[in-house]
Amino acid sequence: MSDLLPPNLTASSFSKALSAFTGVVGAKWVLSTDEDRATYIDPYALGDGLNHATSAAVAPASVEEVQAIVRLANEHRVPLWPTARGKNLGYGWAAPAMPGTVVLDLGRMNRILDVDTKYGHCLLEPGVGFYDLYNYLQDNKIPLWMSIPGNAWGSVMGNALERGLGYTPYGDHASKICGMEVVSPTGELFRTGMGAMSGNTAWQAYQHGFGPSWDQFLVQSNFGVVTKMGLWLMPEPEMTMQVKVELPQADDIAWAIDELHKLRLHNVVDHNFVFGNFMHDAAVVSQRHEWYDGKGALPDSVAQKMMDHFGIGWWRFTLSLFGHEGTVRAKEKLVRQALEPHLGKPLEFVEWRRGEPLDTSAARRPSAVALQIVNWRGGRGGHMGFSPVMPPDGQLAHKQFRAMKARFEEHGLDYYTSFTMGHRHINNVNLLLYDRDDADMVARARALFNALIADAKASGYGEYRTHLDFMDPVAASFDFNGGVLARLNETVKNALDPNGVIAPGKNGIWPRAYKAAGRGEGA
Amino acid sequence: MNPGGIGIAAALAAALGFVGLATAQTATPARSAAGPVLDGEALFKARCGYCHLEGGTGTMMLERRLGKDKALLGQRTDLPADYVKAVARHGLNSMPTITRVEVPDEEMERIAAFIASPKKAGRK
Repeated sequence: MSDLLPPNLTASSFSKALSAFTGVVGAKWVLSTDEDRATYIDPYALGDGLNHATSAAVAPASVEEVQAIVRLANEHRVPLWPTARGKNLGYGWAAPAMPGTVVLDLGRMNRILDVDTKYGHCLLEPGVGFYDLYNYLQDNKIPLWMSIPGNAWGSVMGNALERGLGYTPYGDHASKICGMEVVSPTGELFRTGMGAMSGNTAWQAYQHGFGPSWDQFLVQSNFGVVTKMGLWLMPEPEMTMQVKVELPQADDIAWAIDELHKLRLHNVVDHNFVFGNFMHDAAVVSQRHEWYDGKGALPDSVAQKMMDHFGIGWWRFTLSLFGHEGTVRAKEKLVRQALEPHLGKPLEFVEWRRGEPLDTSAARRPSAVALQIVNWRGGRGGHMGFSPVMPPDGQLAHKQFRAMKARFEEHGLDYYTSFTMGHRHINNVNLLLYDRDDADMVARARALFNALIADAKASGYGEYRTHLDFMDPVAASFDFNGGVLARLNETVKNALDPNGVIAPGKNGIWPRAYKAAGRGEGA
Repeated sequence: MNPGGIGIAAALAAALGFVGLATAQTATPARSAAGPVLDGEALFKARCGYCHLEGGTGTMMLERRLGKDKALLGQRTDLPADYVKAVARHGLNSMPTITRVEVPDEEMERIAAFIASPKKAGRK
């Protein structure tokens, strides 16, 4: 790696800043060697990832150290990119939007500060991972269940701050945030919600506080550094039932989404779930060369062979029912009524009751097995998510599926998708899988991504989350009234963060100091 | 074409999370939060176990590339400590890099020594 400095700084002034950081955290926790800097580059980037290279990383161990670092960052005009555990896989890892930004690695702050069994909430530091919290609950026999994303290597807080998804009734992670402690961009410490009152007893119990509610303002934003987060946990239910459903035909999506929407809307099924195509699973348990060595996207005939081999459908999903036995039984009946006439056969549920081993329950253990998809192409595999939000309508989903599949095929990439069902929406999570060492494939994947942003916009859909490379164009696609929301975000950003030191470029929000590095005034 | 080179049924179940078979087959690493000083084996499980215990994604990748006998890092005896450290810091193929914040040097030394040790054959 070549030397890299934050914008607007000389080598000498940056060196002074790093010395000042060292005075706070110690030399061990200011990481500026080439080897250390390289560990923060997105390992799954489109290309070499150097367009988001960091100039250094600094790792505080306490709130006080975070405050001190942020104050010094203002004094020395050093931009910081906060990251919790840095596992934002498919969206940029721990890397900053703007090259030269110093990563503020919060991984050393990894305490589980509180778990309240009676009220069902916890208070966490940024570095607490899903495995950490899961093991803590298990070791202490606490009857609370977590919601866990498909890949659980990362931080509980970091995932919620990126609006990550899980698959229990608490799976909309950002919606379960309740109270934060935050270091402002100028280094002041504040608490949100009821925590704004000293000694308040309901910080993790009531989400809104008095006056404007700030928790969601800090999600996917660069308006502060979150150092503690309250999060609600689900009381262990009396019973769960689970059923796996396979749909053999691609066009089954139309009727299925309509039926599943009704079940979701009425909370018969009260959790997000992946409605994914066969690639979700085939890309984990096999590699592409085992099926097809030809150029271009996987042909339908080969896809059918894969499905036949594994005994899976074109689409697959798992529904879970949680609650008291009477509730679960009533919901089971409704699910059967909705789906069995279409399927022509009875659903086969698996039951679990409190006290039995969790392996047959609808609770999930954390797992990183889903990361296996990066090996689909072999070599240095990469993946990137394109995830527009759309209405849960069968005909629209069918149209979207056909259009997206055609776009993937046009660009010679295999179509990997999920129409993940939310309460009133679909997160259409598509993964682009590529070989990072194949320049032509990388170029095609980038072209596909840009085409998909435009396609989604034309359909009235926008992304819920995106990779660093595409934060600016996705932000620009939110263009109502001439992009007034972006201007509002930047007005707020400049007011809170006059030197623009916290995460410049995050979700397309560029502070004044680094505007030239971003979309520019004319965007 | 020879599809499904590895234990497909178990891996499929592990991957999909269906009906509780989900991650039940994937070992869960020990809690990595601050606590007593851990030895190399305990650190390996805590820091590397996300992917490198039985059923983990790293184990699956290694099985594909090198065969079942070399899939479980905790049972390998052919990896010098310096090689282990280099792979962890620089990444290899689809394995990402590990920062000094996630695994500091003193922990990495113990992990690498454990993996390099010839005395642990047969453990998981």
